[in-house]
Amino acid sequence: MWANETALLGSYVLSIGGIIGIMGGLLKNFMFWLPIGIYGLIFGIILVILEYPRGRKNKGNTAERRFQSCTATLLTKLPFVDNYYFRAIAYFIVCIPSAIIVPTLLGSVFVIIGSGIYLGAACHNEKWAPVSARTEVRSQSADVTQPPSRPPPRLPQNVNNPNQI
Amino acid sequence: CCPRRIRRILDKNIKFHRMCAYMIVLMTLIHYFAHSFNVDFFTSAYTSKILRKRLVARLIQIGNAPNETYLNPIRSNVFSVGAVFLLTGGWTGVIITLSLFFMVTSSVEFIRRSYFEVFWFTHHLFIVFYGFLVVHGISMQVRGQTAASLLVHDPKRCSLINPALWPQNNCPTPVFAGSAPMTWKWVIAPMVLYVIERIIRLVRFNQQVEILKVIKHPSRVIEIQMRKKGFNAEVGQYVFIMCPQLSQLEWHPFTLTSAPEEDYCSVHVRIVGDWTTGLSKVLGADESGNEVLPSWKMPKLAIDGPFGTASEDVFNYPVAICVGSGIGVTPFASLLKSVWYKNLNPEHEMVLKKVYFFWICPETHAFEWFGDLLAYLERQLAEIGRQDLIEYHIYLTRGWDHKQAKTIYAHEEDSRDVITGLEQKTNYGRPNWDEIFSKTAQSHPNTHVGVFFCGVAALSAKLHKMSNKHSGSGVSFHYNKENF
Repeated sequence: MWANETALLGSYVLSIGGIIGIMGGLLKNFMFWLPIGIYGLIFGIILVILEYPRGRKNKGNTAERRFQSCTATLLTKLPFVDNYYFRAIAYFIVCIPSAIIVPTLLGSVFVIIGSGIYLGAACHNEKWAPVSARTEVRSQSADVTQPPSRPPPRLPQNVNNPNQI
Repeated sequence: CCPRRIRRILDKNIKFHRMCAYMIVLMTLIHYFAHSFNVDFFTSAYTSKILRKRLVARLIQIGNAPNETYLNPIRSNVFSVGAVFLLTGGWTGVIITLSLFFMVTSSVEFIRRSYFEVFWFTHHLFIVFYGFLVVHGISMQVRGQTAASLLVHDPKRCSLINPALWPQNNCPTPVFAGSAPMTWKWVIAPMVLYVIERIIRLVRFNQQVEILKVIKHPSRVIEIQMRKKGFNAEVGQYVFIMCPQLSQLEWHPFTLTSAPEEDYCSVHVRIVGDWTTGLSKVLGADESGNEVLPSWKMPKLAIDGPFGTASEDVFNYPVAICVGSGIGVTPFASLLKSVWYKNLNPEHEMVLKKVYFFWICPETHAFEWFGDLLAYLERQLAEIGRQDLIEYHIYLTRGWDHKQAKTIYAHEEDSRDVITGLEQKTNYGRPNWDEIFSKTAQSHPNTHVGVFFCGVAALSAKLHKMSNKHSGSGVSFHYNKENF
């Protein structure tokens, strides 16, 4: 879970770093930044899409992120993404090229840390699972969807009730 | 000491903490990205393309000869990412940003609620953060010409002249210096205050806490009555409790449920997680312990506090509306007891004349002890004929099945409520706040009414809106919220 938070924040910073790289790359002095900036931005956005849906907690209800259902359905269809070993190794490999210029270095370091935490989680046999609908906490009452068929028992009308609210 | 309106702002301390954190994150990103350009300027000055520019070539050489000060903190050709680690500002910055990264990612609400230890222990990285922040600029690597040098070497004129011809053209070698670190001036005062607070906590840790009584209440609630020398609390304050036997590092906050007038202080602890379960075990209150533990077998406890909350101000208002939802009802236990004690003292005229107390719970489970307290207060007030001092309403918002509903209806005519045993009947469903506020406004024209709330955030927003909506034309509702 924490790996998800770190990798998500890292991918945000990687995308911003990519944008800065592109902007700097347009200047004459920093032309080397341009290809890496584009790479950083593209992979930053891919990582945001992959990391945004929060996986299901092992016990209790999981608080979803806003709008995460849009990308969560995509994630259930992709292969390998629920395996944390895959995420750890893939993120590590993806971030090495973007670590060579300074603007995207920060984002890459964050994502690599996130991949390290994913590796730890994978060693504990954790997996990504989509969040199911919130389990109902209603007490096991009888089905009250039908309107009552008989009127409730009423007291005689002429007794004064001082205790009624 | 300070007027109430200013003191109320201090209730929002956690919100302020978060705003500062967001600002730090934003500024860190801007700072980092701006300096990434800077680092590349420094390193690219050594590449052959740029070296063709004579001015740059000359400027980076200044500092190599003895008695010269340098402009470019990077003194040789290195790869730009490597330069980040060569610069003192660079590697301290890496440490600072990494600690900030760990602190921020573990402070999101999801991690705080579900994996609290991750949040608690990574948040202590702030020590690393502030330590390295203070030394971040110690090498003074942001450099420029000194004022004295600017008088003799005008950069506007001399930059247009071939640097090899500088001595002839009245451009002596420029002298550079870096700006001294400034951050420590801003953070030193808060750091000193924090260190003082931790020292106070250490002192309090060594003070002896005497456990007088441990009472087991239904639904896994234990009440611990304690005594400590020199401990004085106001109404509704909270303390941090630590048990070295369980964990040397964990201090857990609990609201005091005792009134200041009592000669002991008590907390009601609900057994939920591993620390509270361990606490009940060492206190002898778990299922296995049926013998009474002698006082020398009691564990050592440390109390840090008391710390204040919004509820302290309740006695300054002539009328108070107190709303507690769920576990938020605990500070009001202390409050109601204190109101009762103050009333026993006839010579001291209280400003507070009327308390409306609203208790909203999803179910009465886990708060039977509070219901008992209310029943006790009700009896005591009836004895001295002051039943109208505290008017309380209990709302049960969910958690009854059809069998319970039948029982409730069958006992509708009883003089005492079937669930709580109180004279005031329990209401079912949520309160109609518009009606409650307008009725209060009508019965108390031209008064300042204090609204005190402790509980869930959604209800807090609603009450705040209601307070603002019904204020005006004499009666004003002042909203105070306690953080949980």
